[in-house]
This record gives sequence, C-alpha cells and structure tokens, in this order.
Amino acid sequence: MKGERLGEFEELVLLCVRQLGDESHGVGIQTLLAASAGREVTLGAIYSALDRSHRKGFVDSWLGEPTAVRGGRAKRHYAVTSKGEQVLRESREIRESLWTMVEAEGV
Amino acid sequence: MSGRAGLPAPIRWLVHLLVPASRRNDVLGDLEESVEARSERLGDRAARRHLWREVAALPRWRLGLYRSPRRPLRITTTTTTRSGFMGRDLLQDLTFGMRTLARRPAFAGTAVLILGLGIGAPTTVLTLVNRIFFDRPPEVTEPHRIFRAFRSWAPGEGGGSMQHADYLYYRENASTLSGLAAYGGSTVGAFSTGGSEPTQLRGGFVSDNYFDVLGVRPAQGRFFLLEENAEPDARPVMVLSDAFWKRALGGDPGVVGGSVLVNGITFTVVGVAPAAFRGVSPVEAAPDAWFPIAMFGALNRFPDAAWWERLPGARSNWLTLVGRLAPGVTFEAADANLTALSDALSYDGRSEQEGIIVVRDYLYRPSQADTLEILSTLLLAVVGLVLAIAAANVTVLLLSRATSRTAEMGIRTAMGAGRSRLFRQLLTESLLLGLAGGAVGIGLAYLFSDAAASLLPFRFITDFRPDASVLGAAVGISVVASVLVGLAPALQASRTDVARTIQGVGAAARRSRLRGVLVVGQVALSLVLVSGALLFARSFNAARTFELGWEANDRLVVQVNLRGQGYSEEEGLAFIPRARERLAALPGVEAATTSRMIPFQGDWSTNIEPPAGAMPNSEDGTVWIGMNVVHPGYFELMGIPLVRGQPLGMSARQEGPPAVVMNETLAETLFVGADPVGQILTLGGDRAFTVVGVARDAVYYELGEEPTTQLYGSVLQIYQPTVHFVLETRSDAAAMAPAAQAALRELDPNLVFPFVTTLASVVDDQTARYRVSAVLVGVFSALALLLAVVGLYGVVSFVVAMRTPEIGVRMALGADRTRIAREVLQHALELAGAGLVLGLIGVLLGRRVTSALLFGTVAADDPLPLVMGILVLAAAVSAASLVPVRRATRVDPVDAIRSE
Repeated sequence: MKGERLGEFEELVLLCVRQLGDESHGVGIQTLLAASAGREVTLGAIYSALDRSHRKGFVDSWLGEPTAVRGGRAKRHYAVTSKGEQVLRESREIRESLWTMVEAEGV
Repeated sequence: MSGRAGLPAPIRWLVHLLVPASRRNDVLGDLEESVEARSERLGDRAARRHLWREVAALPRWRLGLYRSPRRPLRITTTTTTRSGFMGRDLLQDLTFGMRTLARRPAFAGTAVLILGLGIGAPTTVLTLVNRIFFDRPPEVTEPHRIFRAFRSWAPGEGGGSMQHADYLYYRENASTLSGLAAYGGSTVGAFSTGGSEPTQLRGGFVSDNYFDVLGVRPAQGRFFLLEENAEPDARPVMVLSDAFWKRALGGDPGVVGGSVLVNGITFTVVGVAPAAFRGVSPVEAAPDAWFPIAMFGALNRFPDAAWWERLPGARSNWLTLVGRLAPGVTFEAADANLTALSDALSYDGRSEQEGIIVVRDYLYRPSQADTLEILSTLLLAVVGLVLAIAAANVTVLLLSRATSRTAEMGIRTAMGAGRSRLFRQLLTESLLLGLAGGAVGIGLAYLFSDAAASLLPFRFITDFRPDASVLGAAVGISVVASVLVGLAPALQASRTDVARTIQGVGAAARRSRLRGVLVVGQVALSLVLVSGALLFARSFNAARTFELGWEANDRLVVQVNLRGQGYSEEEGLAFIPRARERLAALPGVEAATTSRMIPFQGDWSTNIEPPAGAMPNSEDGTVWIGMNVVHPGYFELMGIPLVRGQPLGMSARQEGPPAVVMNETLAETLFVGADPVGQILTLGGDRAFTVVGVARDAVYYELGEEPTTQLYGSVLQIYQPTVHFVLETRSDAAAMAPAAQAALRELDPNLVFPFVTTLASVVDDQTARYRVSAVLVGVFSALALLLAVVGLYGVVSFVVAMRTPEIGVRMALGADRTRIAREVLQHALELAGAGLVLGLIGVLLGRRVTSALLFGTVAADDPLPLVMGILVLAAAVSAASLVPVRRATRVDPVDAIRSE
C-alpha cells in the first residue's frame, strides 16, 4: 500500500488545492502557501509535490483556457480526488487523536 | 518588469530546454504570473531575483531531486499493521530503515565508515590467515589426505630431510597409506634447446610415484614411469612446469617428446604439469622442472654411477616424504603408524633420539611454523580489539541518535506500534548499517590484504584476496556486530515511556552511563593496543639495529655452483681467483671476496671430541664447530676484525697443515686460557689445521643468538665447489647484480646463478617477523586510538550539550567559568582514568601472547612502552576533551536558558 503515504509538504499542497478549488494552479498554490503557512516555495517544488500526488491518485489535473494576464498562456488546474480527500482526512484524524492524547498527558 | 514585456529570452530558452513541450506553456504562464505578482508587491529587483530562483528550481523538479519531504511522523500503514506476513514486515522494516538512514547521511556515513574500519581489519587478517593456514595445494586430488614427513633429531625438534634409505623403509612398511613419495635435492642447471642461449633452470628430483601420490594430472604428455627411476642416469626424462614451458620455450605446443639440453645432457620432455601446480607446499620453492631421482648423478656431474649403489646406505639427508592416507585412515592413525616404524628403525649411526615428524600443515616449515601461528593469533586478537572498539563507538553513536529520536519513538508507541515491532525496526536499521559497514570492510580487505601480506616474513604466497569462506566470515562478523551495536540502543529506545519522552527528559541519564562504560572500554583497549604497538616497535628497532659483527650494507652476493657447472676441483681452484679479480675490477665495486656460507642461510658444522682442556658446548659432550671456507680478503670486506694472529694467507701453499682462523668463542672453547695461534686443530680424526688467527665474534645463524663457534678456512687451500662471490659496492648493491653476472659470464657463458641477493636483504628477512608485528599492530592501534578519541569526544560533547541549560543558569547566577571547565574536564578524565586502569590490567594479561614475538633483547614487561602508551592516551584524551570543555565555558547564559 505504498501509494497511500502522504508527505507533510504534499499534505500542505493538497490542502491548498482543496482550498483553491477551481482556481488552483501553480502560482495560486504558491501564493496561498506563502500567505497561510509562511512558506516561500519555488514552483519547481510545488510541481514535484503535485506530480507525486498525481501519480498516487490524490489529484487530477487538466489544462485550462488561455488567459490574457499570463501572456495568453493556458493554466494547468488541479483538483483533489476522493482518494486524496480520504488520505487528508485520515491524516487529520491521526493528528487530532495525538493531540487529544498529548493534552490528556498534561504537558 | 512589466507584464506585457513577458519573460526575458534567456529564461524562456532555459524553460524550453528544461521542460517538456506538454508542460512548457503552463509553466511559462505560471512563471510569468508569479513574477508579475511579486513585482507588484516587492518591486522589480526582488521579482528578478525570485525568477532566477524559480528557474534554478526547475531542473530539480525535472530530475526528480525533490525527495519526499522528511516525515518524522509516519502516518501510514506500518503503525496500523499489527499482524501480516513476516516477510512484508521485514520488507517494510528494511525500506523504512534505509530511508531513515538516508535521511541522516552524515550519521549513517560515520557509522558505516567506523564499522567498515572495524570489520575491514579482521577481514584483512582472516584473508591472510585463511590463505596461510587453510589453503591447500592446487591441482592435488583430495589434499586433506596428503601429509608430509620430516626427520626429527630429538623429540619435538627438527623438521629435517630424510635419507633415501629411510624413504624406502617407510614406503615398504607403512600399512596406513595408499602411497608414499619423496622429493628433494633441488639443483640449478643450464637449460637450452640446442644453439640457443642457456636459461637458468631450477630442477627438483622426485620418486617415480610422486605425481601419482599427489593425484596431479599432466596438462600435456605424461608423468614418470616406474622404470624411469630404476637405473642410474639411464633415462634422461623430465617434466616441465607450465611457467617454465611458457617462459623458456614460449609455450611451444610440440614440446612433449622433444629434446632439450640440461647441463649438457640431452633430456626428453615427457610432460608438462598443470599451470597451478606448485608442489606440495608453497614454503618450498616450486621447481621449473622435475627429474627422476635416478638422474641426480648425471645432472650433478657425478663421475660414475657409484652413487646409485651407495644410495641405499648413504647417510645423507636430502628428501622430504609426502604421503597419501589410505581411504578411511585418519591422520592420527598414520602418524602413529609411521612413528612406530621410526621407533623400530635402527642402524649404525642412527641416534636413539631420532624420530619422524608427520605434518599435514600445508605451510609447515620448522623454523617458521611457530612464528606464523603466534603471529596469526596475535593479529587476530588485535583486530578483535579493533572491532570491539569500533562496535563500542557505533553503539555510542546509536545511543546518541536514539536520544534525538525519543520523540519519534514516543509518538509511534502512542500510535500503537508494539515494542517488539519498534525493537525489530531499530535492529533492522543497525543491521543495515552493519551490512554496509561489512561491504566497506570487505572492500578494504580487497585493497589492503596484499599490502599487509607483503610485510609477512615469507614471500611464497601472493595474490591475497578474500575467498568465499572469508567473505562468509565477514558477513557473519557484520551481522553479529550489527546486533551487538544495535541491541542496547534498540532495547532502550523501544522501552520508551510515552509520557516522559514527550516531556523530553527520558532515559538520557541511563544512556549517558552506558555511554561512559563504552568509552572506558575503548580507552582501555586502546591502551592495550598502543602500548603493544610501542613494544613491538621497540622490538623491531632492537632487531634492526642489532650488532651483527659484520657489514651488511652495500654487499652483493652471487652464488655459483662449480660442480653443477661441470668444473673439476682443479678447474674450480683456477676459476675462483680469476673470477674474484674480474669482479673486483668492475667499476663501482670496491672489493670482492668469496665465502662458502652466507649468514642466516643455513649452517655447515662439525662436531669433534673435545681436545684436552677444551669445554664441550654440546649436550652429547662434543664441541660443535660452525664451518666456513672463505677467500683471504673476506675478513676485511665483511668488516670482521682479527683480534690475534694473522689473516689467512693469499697463497695456496701453507707450511704444514692448511691455515684456519677461528672466532673468539671457538678459541675460548677449545683453548681455555691458552693462546690458540700456532696450535694444530684436528677435525674428523684425520684432518689437521694450523690456527693462524682469531677473529672477532659475529652473528651467523640467527639474530640475537648467543655467540657461536666459527672456523674459517681458505678456499685456496680447502676447495668447496659452492662459492658465494661477495662484492662490496660503492652504491646500491642490488643494482650491481646484472653487471656482476655479466662479468662472470664473460669468463664462462654457461654459468648460472642459483642465488643472487644482498646482505642487506638477508638481514631484512631476519627482521621481517619483528617488522610485521610492529607495522600491523602499529596501524591497527593507531586506528583504535583514533576511534577511541572520537568516541570520547562524542561523549564529552554530548554531556556538555545536555548540561548546557544547567551551566547557563549557574553562570547567570555567577558561577566561575574555570569551575565549570574543571567539572567537565573531571568527567572526561574520570572516564579516561578508569579506561587506563582497565587497560593496564589488559596489558598485563596480554604479555604472554606478545613475549614469543619479541626480539630477544626486548622483554614483554619492558615498562617504557607502557608508560609511553599511557602518555599518548592521556594526551589524546585531553585533546579530545578540550573542545567540549571550551564550549562549556563559553555557554551564553541567555541563549542557554532560552533554549530550555
């Protein structure tokens, strides 16, 4: 079940894709990551994470319509698949159960 | 940078180069958009810098160099898989272990390197030991059934050759063997194929059944027949070694059945031995060709066949026996059988003491067997210690690492990973480290085995490479080492207490204690090795600088066997002075002389009944006298001063019996309190000599020997057909060898030179056994010291790091820096001190092993190396603690408290 593993950065990127919905593309993800997580990441790193998630079936991608703002170039859009959704949810549950435990231990 | 202007051309060009067409457009779009957004927010300059960063990141994306980001949390199947296939778990453990290690390349690299050094040392020594003791002669069928037998001259002593009569006796009467053969009497002859320049050939003589007993099959032709060994000098046949066939005959395919000349006699080549066949034991020089024993007289130019008639009763010892155990017979049974036969054997002249030594050691050589065994034991012990130090070191590394992984372990335990699972996971990681270390170690063994072997006091085996059994042992060592180094850290880590680890305190104190114990152990073992190395260095130095009593440097030795070359006594006596003069006249040669004997190259001696007033020096009440026959200039050239009387005369004539010079020890033995000069000495009942002078004692047979008796006659008066020309050269003696041989061949083009060497290398061979222990133990102990110092440094640093907050608080409260330094240093020195005390005990225990390998004048309880070892260790330990101690005194209270 190797394909079900989710890296921390991948998780962040997937969350951004999910958040951005139809507007998700490289630069959108980059901007959101910078704004919400305070992380300045190159597009190359984002493409890598997206490629990996795509191979694992966590995201779909398609080429959009050309837009004027980009010198008439098309955008590549991404969306989280249901498998991706499930992995994100699992990850969240684990984190939460951990936090419950940590708090119960009284740190 | 305005939006409309788009991306600069070089950027577009780079993207074209780096990104496939399918993605090019959207990537260019993203880049443009990203730059534009940035330019609006931060200005053009920042945007341009950003653009280059983006472009620089593209190749990493395309080449897949963005690894999965580090995942301290493993939020997936492993923790939820409780049961399942063992194999799947193992696979997961392995892949996870590899990833974990790859994530900390510096840690993994250090551990692998240390383990590699630790495993490489024993693998190298095992490679040597394996070749030396467990190798078997190639091409010999069922070599474990082969043994050799030697003559012993006293119980437990000996290893000498046998008489032909002995051989026939054992062959006829032994009931436990399927065959008994004999070989020996190597001879050096001139080989040619008629018309061609003669080549030097080293021949060995064998009994008819030699190859049959060994079970060797000829590569070409056949081996000897029974009838070829039945009559003296009647069947000139020979078998060539593969190497000689290729070297001298260019691998001529039609060699079998062909005729060749050896010492002027026409021989028929009946066969060629297989290439790998080198005889029974590598300690015996492999001959270029084998001859039947019956050809011995012809090849040595005996005047007639009378030697063959005398052979059954001849008292000359020249053969080694090689036998094959009959099927089902044990070595012990055959040994008992032959010993019983030897006990029953008696004939005139055979001493009661004489017996037989039966050996299956491939490498048995009387003078070296013990040395090799002790040396191997010592080296194995030394590399065992190196391995132990390396393992302790890696254990410390893993313990430190476990501390930094307590959070991970705690969380994984909290998430339901069983302790056994964690334990197994951690052990798998150390197994991976161990196997990688093993691979490095095997690599090192491949690289260094030959170099290490070249130090050994023999040169008969070459091409040392780890074989399958050594590789297996190396893998075994790696696995055991992995378990040993991984066990304690894995046990502790898997016992992690969730609540406490998350609080961040954990079992650090306990681990620190174990670390301390491991460092103490490393220091102790290092002291044993370092002081041992210094002791061996001292021993080697003592051997190297031992006063020989003669000059070894710039002395070349060239042997000529005049009888083998066909010279009569008269011709020989004419040749020797002529050749000596020719050699002395060579440019670069200071002087030349001759000597029958060369120091350390065997002995020639006689025992006489002590004359009146003499002191016997042998157990049987006789006087043992070492003999030599030299050219009169010998003493001057060798630098042996005469202390009384005259040197040997340059004339062949002498008033009365031939003149002799004796050394001081012989003079004191034979003529207690009297002047030996002018005395008449009688040897062998009827041979009388006039003593003309007394020479200073010198070393003849063994380094460090007690002074032995020595008698020198003049070669001009006492003919000996074997002559060593000794040349004193103005520069490198070995470089003069070709010129000296050429000069001798000018006098006789057929001359061959069985033995060419320098006195310096003869001495070097003697010191080799001391050198090998000095160099190898030295290298290994330096390695051990380095590891121990690194280990101590790590532990002290770790302690300082752990105590940083505490130190910070104390310093904030006004504590003295020197006091803190003293505390940290004290901790380091306590560890080192405990190590030194333990090491001292180890040194005392190790003395028994070392004493046998030390040069005579150096004692195993010599205190100097021990004291020096302690000083070296103390200095190294102080150096290792210095950096962490300085770090402790420079703790910034504010930083330290903040990090808390």
